[in-house]
Amino acid sequence: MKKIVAMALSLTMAVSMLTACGGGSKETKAETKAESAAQTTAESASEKAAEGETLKVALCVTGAVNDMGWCQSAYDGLKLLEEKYGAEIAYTENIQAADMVAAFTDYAANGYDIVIGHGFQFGDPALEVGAQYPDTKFICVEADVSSDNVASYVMKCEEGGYIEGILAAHMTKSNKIGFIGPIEGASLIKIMNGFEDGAKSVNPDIEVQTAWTGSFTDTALAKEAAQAMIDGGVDFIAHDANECGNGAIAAAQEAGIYATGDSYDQHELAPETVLTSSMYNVPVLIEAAYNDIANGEFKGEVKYLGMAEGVVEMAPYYDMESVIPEDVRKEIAELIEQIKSGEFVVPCDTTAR
Amino acid sequence: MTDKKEKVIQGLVIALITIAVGTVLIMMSNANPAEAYANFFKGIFGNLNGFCEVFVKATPLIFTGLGCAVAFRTGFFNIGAEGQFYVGALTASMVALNIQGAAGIVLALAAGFLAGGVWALIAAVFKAKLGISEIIVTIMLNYIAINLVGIAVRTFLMDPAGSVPQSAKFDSSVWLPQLLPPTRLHAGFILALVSVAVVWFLLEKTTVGYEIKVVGFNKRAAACNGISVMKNIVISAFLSGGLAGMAGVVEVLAIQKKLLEGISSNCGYTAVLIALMAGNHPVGVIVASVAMAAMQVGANTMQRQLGVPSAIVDILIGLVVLLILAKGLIRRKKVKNA
Repeated sequence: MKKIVAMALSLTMAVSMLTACGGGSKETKAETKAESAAQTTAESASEKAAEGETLKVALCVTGAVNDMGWCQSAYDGLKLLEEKYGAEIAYTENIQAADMVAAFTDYAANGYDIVIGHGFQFGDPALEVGAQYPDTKFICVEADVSSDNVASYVMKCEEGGYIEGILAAHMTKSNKIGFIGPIEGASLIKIMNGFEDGAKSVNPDIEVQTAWTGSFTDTALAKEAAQAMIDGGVDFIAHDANECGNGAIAAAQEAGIYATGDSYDQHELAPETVLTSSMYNVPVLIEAAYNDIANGEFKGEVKYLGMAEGVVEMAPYYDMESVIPEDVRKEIAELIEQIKSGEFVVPCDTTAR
Repeated sequence: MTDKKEKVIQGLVIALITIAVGTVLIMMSNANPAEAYANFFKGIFGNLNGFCEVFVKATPLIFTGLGCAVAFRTGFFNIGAEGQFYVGALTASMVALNIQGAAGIVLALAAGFLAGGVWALIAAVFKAKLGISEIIVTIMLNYIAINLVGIAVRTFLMDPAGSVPQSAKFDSSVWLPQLLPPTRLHAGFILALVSVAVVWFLLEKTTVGYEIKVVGFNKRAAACNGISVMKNIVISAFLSGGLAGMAGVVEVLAIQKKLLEGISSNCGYTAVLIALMAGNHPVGVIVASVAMAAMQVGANTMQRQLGVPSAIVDILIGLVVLLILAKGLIRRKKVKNA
């Protein structure tokens, strides 16, 4: 028994040394190649695209790609790249914070041109891995990091929140409105603040109640939070709580008050309750990032995209159009045009109030 | 000779069954098995990074597996390596955030070992004084430790500059050095190998180790011969918890460089399987850990490149463990028949 173990061990050691040596020389080769190409790295992916070669794109998400929400929207974007541009795609689901560096490294080491991290949590890992693999471009959605080969693409979600706030302020009778958030993070705080700013632009004295559930998925918790607000006199509920926000809408539906949806068109969840939804067109964002890289226009910066670029959009009112006064609808439509033309800029405040 | 032959055949049978089941599972997820296996091995041997990643993933498994093996030797069923991992990581982070340089590394390692050891000691004392099953106590202590870390990264250890539940990044002077940058292979792997050597020496060459093993074999006989059962259970529990705590220290100092939740990847539970596969032998722990880590790395690549769910490997690992257990069953039956 002991002999076998010893033999197995020495064998693994021998194999590992051999492989390590082989790999080592390959690595140095790659390094010198990277160095010689250092001046032209910015164009490497775009050159490939220009020569008609397919780009390899990888997507990393924290949940499942069929979650009907945040993660699926990125997956739809990835599929779009495959269908429209013939990109070679791969993805990994359910990545925990502790495994992000490993996932990024694996894709970069396997020669992927573009690695997308879908969520602000991917920011630091992208910087860390990006420094080691200069030939790969890292795109982080909703993060705030950038370096030579790392860019963040941020959606101006506060624009949607602002419109919802205006709508809520017009629709409330008690002058108390509520907003449910999931986990306190910059990209979610700005929507909540946008909602409050929008409401106060209509009525400075309006009372805006807010709550964080501390979860993206706990529907019951969001429902409880919304119920507590409704018991306190709130008669309009908005949210940016992903899956967990479905609970907030359910509470509004049961109480017979109005609500707004978030992320995608949530009309079908409660057709008599949801007036409109802020929709974030992640596929448009991913396509924009892909084109920036393919056309050689990539910059290591934080890029903001909103209603003007078609990334943020308001869902139709459907049958609820009849309950919203015409002048309110007109005011909102005009404001959206002003935001699109750049005439009006929605304030973006990412600090918790 | 026939015994050896039998072992080789058993190994081959286990491998064949595993590959067959794996093939079926891959086909069920609509992938080409040949391509999937090619990606599996490409993930492990395809480039230096993947190969080193095996040893990166094996490092915490060696520590926790070794810890479980030591405890199992005295019949102390430590299912709490997960919790001991987290108290180790927590104390090490508290040290690393406050003390810089080599002193910080040494103190973090010592503090993590001590914390993990004390965490296991609680269960040992409950067992010795109150006769409460250590299995229950260590599992309960896991929940406490995991949630303690959750509280810590949301309150007193939370990065003041961020809004994510994690600590600030440690100063680079307390990071464990990388051995082969840009891969993540780090000095913690060497430390794990050294720990294996030390534990092997302790168990095989010292009186303490001898007593620990005797207690494990037969408590009554040990007591009758003047070997204190309780003393040895306490020693092995402390050592076991300390080793699991070291896994936590190494993960935060070398891989994460900050404290956050979910960093164990369940290595505290996998450790039980590793000790089982290794027959509680320190050297066997290395082999089992590296094999387990290689399967995980290969499976991750399979998932990342082909979209084959990496859960398949969890199923296969469970199967391997069952088959190893069944192997013992067959052998025992033979003895009975003979």
